[in-house]
Amino acid sequence: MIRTKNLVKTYNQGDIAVTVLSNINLNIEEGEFAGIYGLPGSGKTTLLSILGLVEAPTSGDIYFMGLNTAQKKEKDRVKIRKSNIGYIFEDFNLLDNMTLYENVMLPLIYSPVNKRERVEKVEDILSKLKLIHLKNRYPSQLTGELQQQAAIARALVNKPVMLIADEPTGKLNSKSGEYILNILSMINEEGTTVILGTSAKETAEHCRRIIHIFDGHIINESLL
Amino acid sequence: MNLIYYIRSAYRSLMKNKGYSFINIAGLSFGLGLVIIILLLVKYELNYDTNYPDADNIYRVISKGKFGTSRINDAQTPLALSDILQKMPETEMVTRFIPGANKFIRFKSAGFNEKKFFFGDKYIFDIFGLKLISGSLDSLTLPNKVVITENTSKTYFRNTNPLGQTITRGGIKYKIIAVCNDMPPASHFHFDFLASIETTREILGNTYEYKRWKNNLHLRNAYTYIKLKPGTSIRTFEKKLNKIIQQREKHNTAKKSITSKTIKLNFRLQPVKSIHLRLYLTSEMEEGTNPVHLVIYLAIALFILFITGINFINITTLYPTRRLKESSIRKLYGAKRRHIVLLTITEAFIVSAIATLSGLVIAELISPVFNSLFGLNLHITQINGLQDIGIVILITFAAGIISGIYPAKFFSEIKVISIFKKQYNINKSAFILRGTIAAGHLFVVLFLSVLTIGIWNQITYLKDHNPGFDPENIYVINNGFSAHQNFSNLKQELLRLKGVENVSASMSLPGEEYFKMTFNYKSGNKNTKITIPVNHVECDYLETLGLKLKKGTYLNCQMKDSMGIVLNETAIKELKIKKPLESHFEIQTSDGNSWKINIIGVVNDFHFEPLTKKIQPLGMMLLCNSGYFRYITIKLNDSYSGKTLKEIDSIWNKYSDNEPIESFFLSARLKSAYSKDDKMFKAILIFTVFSYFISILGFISLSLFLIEVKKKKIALARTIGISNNNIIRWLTFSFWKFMLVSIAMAVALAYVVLSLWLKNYYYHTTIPTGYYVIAIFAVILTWSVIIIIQYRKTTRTQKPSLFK
Repeated sequence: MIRTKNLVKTYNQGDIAVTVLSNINLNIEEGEFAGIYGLPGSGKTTLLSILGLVEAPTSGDIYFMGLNTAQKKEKDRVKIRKSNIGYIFEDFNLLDNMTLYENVMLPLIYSPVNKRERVEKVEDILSKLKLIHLKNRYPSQLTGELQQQAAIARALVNKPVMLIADEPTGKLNSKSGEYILNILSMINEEGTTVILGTSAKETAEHCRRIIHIFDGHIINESLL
Repeated sequence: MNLIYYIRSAYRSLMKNKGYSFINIAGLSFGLGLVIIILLLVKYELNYDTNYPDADNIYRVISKGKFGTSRINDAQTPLALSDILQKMPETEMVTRFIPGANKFIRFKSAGFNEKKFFFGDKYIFDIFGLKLISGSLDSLTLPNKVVITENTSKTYFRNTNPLGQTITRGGIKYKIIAVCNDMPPASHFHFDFLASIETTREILGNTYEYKRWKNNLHLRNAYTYIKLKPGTSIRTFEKKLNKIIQQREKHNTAKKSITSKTIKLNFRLQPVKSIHLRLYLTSEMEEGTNPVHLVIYLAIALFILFITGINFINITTLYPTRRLKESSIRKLYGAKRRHIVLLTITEAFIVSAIATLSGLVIAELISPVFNSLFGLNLHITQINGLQDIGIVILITFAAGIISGIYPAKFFSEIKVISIFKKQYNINKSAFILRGTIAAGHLFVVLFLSVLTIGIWNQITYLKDHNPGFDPENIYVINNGFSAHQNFSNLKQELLRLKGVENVSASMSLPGEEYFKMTFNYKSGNKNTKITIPVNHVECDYLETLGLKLKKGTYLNCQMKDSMGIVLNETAIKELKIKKPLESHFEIQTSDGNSWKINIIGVVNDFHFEPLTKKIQPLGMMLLCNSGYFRYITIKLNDSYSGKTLKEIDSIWNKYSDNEPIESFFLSARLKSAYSKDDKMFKAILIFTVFSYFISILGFISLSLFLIEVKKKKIALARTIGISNNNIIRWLTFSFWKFMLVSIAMAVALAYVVLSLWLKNYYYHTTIPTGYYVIAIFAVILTWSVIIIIQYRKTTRTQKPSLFK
C-alpha cells in the first residue's frame, strides 16, 4: 500500500535545520492495521502527515500504491489523497458551525460526486456507524465519543483505501477509546488499511503491527 | 460546489459568533448609512437644474468684459439682449426676467415682505417646464398681471381661488391670472410671483430713463435664458452674437452714451446645468455650492467605506485560530485556495448586503440631522432609477471586496500540515499586512481629526477676526425702502429711545456686493479711469459703524456735501493718491457734463466683503436723494433690551404704513456669511466622530488580536516575572513603526488639503503646531489606553497556566 525509502524530513527553525525523521524505511501492506508508536516529539505525527500525503519529505521516496509521490506537487497529492485517504485526529476536527451530516459530507463537497450520490454515501456511512439519528446535531451537542465516530464517518465517506488516525483516543476516556478502537478494527477487517499513531502503549497494542519510533528513527518493529 | 453551499456556510459562520457578527454588521451599516447620505447629498447638488425638459440645450447668457479698470463676470445681461437673440435662427426660445426689490405685498388685510417677486414673460414656463395649475398666461403680455406659485397661493389664499384676486405691491395693483407649480428645489433661482414685464413701464414711468433702461446694451439689469436648437455650436453662436452687437454699436457710434464708452461687454452662454457649481459670477440670484466641498464629501465617503471595511477585517480576523483550523480541515479534504477565498468573500458579501439594507434604514433615520444642517429634504426614496440602484449595488460590492479580500487571503494561506501540528501560527507577512491596515485606520482618523481642527480653527478665525469696524449692537432694518422719504423724522424719533446710540442708513452693508462706479482721476498730467465699489450712505453712517477717521472729515449732513467722497486706506494706497484731501475725482453724467467730487476724508480699512477677498478700494458718498435707503442701521447702546426693539418696531410701523419690520443684527449676519463652511465643518465633525468611534473598535480588535496570537509568549513572559508594562511595550513595539508612518502621512496630507482649502480665503490663519500635536496625542493615547485595558482585562481573568 505504502512504502518509504530513505525518507528524511528536516524543518528549518530560524537558521538551524532540525531533522525530525531520519532515514525511514517502511513498508505497509494493503489491509494492514499498523501502529506508529512513540513518545511525544518522537516524529510520529510528521511521519503520519507524510504517509497521509499531506507533507512532502525533504529527501527519500514514498510510494503510494506503487506511485512515487515524494516529488509530487501539493495539487497532485491533493488529488491522490482526497479519493484514497481518510484522516482522524485526537481533537476530532469537526467544523463546529456545521451539523454532523454536513461534516461527514465535507470530503464529497470537493470531489466530483453528484448530489444524489453524496446523500446516499453520507446516509450509508452514518447508518453503518449508527449515527443517522444524530445527523442534524452540531458537534457541540455530541459527546467526545460520538464526535470521534462522526470524524470516522467523515474519514470513510469517500471509501478510502487507507485511514490515517493520529491519537484517535487521546481525548477520550478508556471506555470510549476502546469503542473507537473496535470500530477502527472493524474497518480494517473490511479491507481498509489503517495506520494509527499513538503515544499510549495500550492503544498501540490494538494494532497487529507496531512500529516504534524514537527521535525520528524507527528503533523497533513488532507483530502481534 | 454551488453558491447555495457558500451562502449557507457563510451564514452559519456568521451565526456562530452572533456578538461579533452584530458588531461587524452594525459598524458596516453605520458606515454605509453615512456613505449613502453623502452620496444623496452629492447627487442632490449635482442634479441642480437638470430636471427641465431638454436641459442640455438651455443656457444662461452671461456678461463678460471690462468696466473701467475692473473686470466684469456677471450673471446679468441687458434687457435688450433678448430681442437680438430672438431673431437669431439658432434660437428656439428666449426668456428674461428681472427680480424685483424686497417689498411689501398686501392682499386685503394680510401682507408679507416678498423677496421673490420677478418681472418676466411667459417663455419662462416653457423653458423651465413649469406647469400651470389653473388660469392662463394669455394676458401676461399686458401690464399689472401676475402669476403666483402653488406655495404662494397656499400662503395667501389657503383654500380660496386666487384667480382674479388683486394684490398690491409698492402702490401698484396686480391681478392674479394663473397659478403655476413651484420651481424645483434644486434650481438656481426661485420665484413666488411672476409679474408681466410690461408692468415695469408703470413702475419706472414712460421716461427717457425707462427707455434707456430697456434698450441700452451696456446695462446689466436682467437674467436672460436661451434654448438653442439641437446641434447648435455654442462657440459659433457666441461669436455670431457678439459680432451682431459690435455691428450695432458701430452703427450707433454717433450716439455713443457715456456707459458705452466705459463698459466693454461680451456675451457668453453658460449651460444651465453648470450654474450651481460655478461660483465666479457676480449677481447670482442664489448661493451656489463650491465643488471643492463636494470633492471633500466624496473623499470622506471613500474614507468611511475604507475604515468600515478595515473594521470588518479587524473583527473577522480577531480570533483567527478557529477560522484557520476550519480552512486547514477543508484543505485537507480537497478544498483549493480559491474555495476558501470564495467562502470568505461570500461571507463578506452577505455582511455587506445586510449592512447595505440596514445602512439604507440608518440613512433614513439620520437624514433629519443632515436635512436640518444643509436645509435639504434628503430621503432614501430619492434613490431611484437604474443608475442609483447600480451605485448602491456597486457600494455593496465595494464594501464586500474591501472587507473580504484580506480575510480571504489570510485564511486561505494556511497550510494543511497545521492540522497535524495543531499550530495555527500567523506568518510575518500577515503581521505586516495587519500593521498596514491598522496604520490605514489610524491614517483616516488622524487625517479627518486634523482636517476638522483646521477647519474649526479657520471658521473661528473668520468669526472672531476684527472686521475694522464695530458690528456689535448694530440693529439693521432690512426693508428701509418702506420708510419712503420719511427717514429724517424716523431717525429723530429713534434717537429719542433710551437704548439707541446712533441711527444711520445706507444702500449696501458689509458682507454683500457693492454698486460700482467709474470716476476720472487726474494725477499730474495722467488721466486715469478708475472703477471702485461705492456705498451710498447717510451722513452718520461712518460713525454708526465705528469707522476711524484717518484724515479729513466724515460726511457731513449740514454741509450738504453730496459731492464729497470718503475713501478707505487701500483706495489711497492702490490709486497712489499722494495728497488725498487736495485731490478730487470727476464723474461724467449722461448729458455730457462733468461733476467734481472732492475727497473729503480717509477712513481705516475694514472688511466690507467676506474674508475670502482682499480689501479693495472703497468709496462712500452721501446719497443724493436721502429719502430712499435700503438699510437703516441703528447702533444700540449696552442698556438696550427687548423693550427697545419693541419700541423700534412700533416707531417703524408708524413710518412704514404698517409694513412689518424685517430686521437683523449685523454681527449675526456677518457670521452667517460663512454658513456653508460652518455646515461643512459640522458634517466633517460628524464623520470624524464616527470614524473615531470605528477606530476605537478597530484598536480594540487589534489589541485582542495581538494578545490572542501571542498568548503563549505572554504566558511565558509572565511566568518568568517580566512586568506587565514591559510585556505591553513588547506587544505593541512591532506596530509603532506602522503607526509613526501613518501619523506622518496623515498629518502631511491633512496639511496639504487644508492649505488648498485655505487658498479660498485671502485672510486666513495657520494651524498652530500644538493642534497637530493634540490630534496625534489623542490618537496615540486612545490606542495605548485600549491596549492596556484589554491586556489587563485578559490577564485578570486568565492565569498564566491557562495560556497553554
